[in-house]
Amino acid sequence: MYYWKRILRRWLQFRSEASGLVTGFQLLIVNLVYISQLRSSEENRLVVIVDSWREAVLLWLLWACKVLPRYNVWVIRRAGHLDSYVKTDFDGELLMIATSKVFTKHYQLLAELRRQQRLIIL
Amino acid sequence: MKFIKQSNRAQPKVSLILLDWSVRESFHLLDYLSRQDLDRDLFEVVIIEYYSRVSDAIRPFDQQVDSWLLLEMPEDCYYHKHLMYNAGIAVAKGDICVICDSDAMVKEGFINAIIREFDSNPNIVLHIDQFRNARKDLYPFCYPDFAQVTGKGCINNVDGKTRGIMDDKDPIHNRNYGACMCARRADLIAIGGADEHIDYLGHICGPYELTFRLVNLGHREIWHQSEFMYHTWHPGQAGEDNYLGPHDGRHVSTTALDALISGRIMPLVENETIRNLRLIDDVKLDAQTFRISPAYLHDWRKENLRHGQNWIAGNTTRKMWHGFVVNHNIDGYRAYPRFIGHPDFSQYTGRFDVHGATEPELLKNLYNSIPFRFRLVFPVVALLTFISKAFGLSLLYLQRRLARLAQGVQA
Repeated sequence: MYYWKRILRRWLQFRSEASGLVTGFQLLIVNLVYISQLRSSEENRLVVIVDSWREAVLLWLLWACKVLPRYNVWVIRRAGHLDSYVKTDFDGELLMIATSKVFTKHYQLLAELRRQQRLIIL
Repeated sequence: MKFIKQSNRAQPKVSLILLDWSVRESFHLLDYLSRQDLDRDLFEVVIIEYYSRVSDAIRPFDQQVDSWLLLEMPEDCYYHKHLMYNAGIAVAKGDICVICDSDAMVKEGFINAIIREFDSNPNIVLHIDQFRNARKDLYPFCYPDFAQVTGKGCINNVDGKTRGIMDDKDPIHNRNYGACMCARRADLIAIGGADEHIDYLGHICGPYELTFRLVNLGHREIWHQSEFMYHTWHPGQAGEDNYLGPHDGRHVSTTALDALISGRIMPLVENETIRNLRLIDDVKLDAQTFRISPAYLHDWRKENLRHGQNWIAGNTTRKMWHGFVVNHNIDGYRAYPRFIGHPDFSQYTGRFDVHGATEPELLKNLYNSIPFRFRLVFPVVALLTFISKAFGLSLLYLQRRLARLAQGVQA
């Protein structure tokens, strides 16, 4: 019963997200759409930080449908995941975009990153 | 406002700030503080009572209390913990302020562990998590031993550490930020003390608001890995029938989260006494010096927060719509994509602006400003998210059912 309640809650969340009441993943999409319109020279160095593979797959799908350009995506589900990205992907200065959800989940690490790199929190 | 007692400790290192708003039934922490393994002059205990009650629960331990201040707020005024934090910070004489639960148990090395952590790490804000036991037979508090609290009925013991400490997925919701927060008094004053904004009125508040702004200042947040507090069940511990300010659905203040996200260091509403302490060096404090804004006596009145029998829900000050920030000024409403607020994109300020005379008009203009194919994308993304989450939950359910079945077969 508990799981059905959770599924029902997700459905209600979907309805409110669709009507713009909740700023969920679409907050990220809208801002990426406008950033892509700027055709900034920084596009290739732009990293999108999300907290689930689901969101990473959706970004990939949006790229496949030619809605968004292809971005570097860091999936940070646990605190340790950030270290592995930082070790491998830090070639030069990056411009990073993170949702407020992922930022508040891992703020201790990302606040430190914000001091070192350009990090936009949506 | 009046002092029942004023500390005469010459130079304590640590000031423990304990709060009450005429609700606490037990202050047994004071008993555990009397058994600390260090010189008693190294720490002081400050009690801040929001109303005028001289609590009988403190009487058995009043030798342990160094300062006891009644704020004497009117009974029809709702409680605001941040005002009490500020009173505690103002009264404290110690270098390190500790804001913690007054109905928890601590081991003998508790204060020593705090001092050692600050001695070895400059520029930190220290938190100590709490084991929580849900056994109702330990209420009223009956001085169980520590093994009893971490044993049967403990809801967050994972191999001798709290579940929150072990968690690296969502610490903000899984750790107890209100259990114990320690920071240097000078740092707390430098960030303007606790925020007295009305969003923090009632249950949705806590020392994490200070922690977030100290992190924004550049301090490192540390969670003690071996020292803990121990809490037993009592009625009303989850803040039932309390006024709730704006929160994220899991009782973390969205106003505090906004401060963290935006990198804000100063409070939205600063206490006058804290501001004086911040700007003027030689402020001497007596009962009359700690200032409480007279406006609070009106703004925080219970009758202004109630609608019939129910509390009015606190509204968030954050206005966001589909990734746009919505601002209101004398010319009307203006919205812009959130990334434009970042300094790297400041040259594009105004390029994507959408205006409207009223909020509904602005939202209509915003909706029309988003290209049609992107408008189609939103429900598709929301539907895919829903399906994947529902699928994930169903898998989890099946996994657990199968695990239970397997256990049944083995048994």
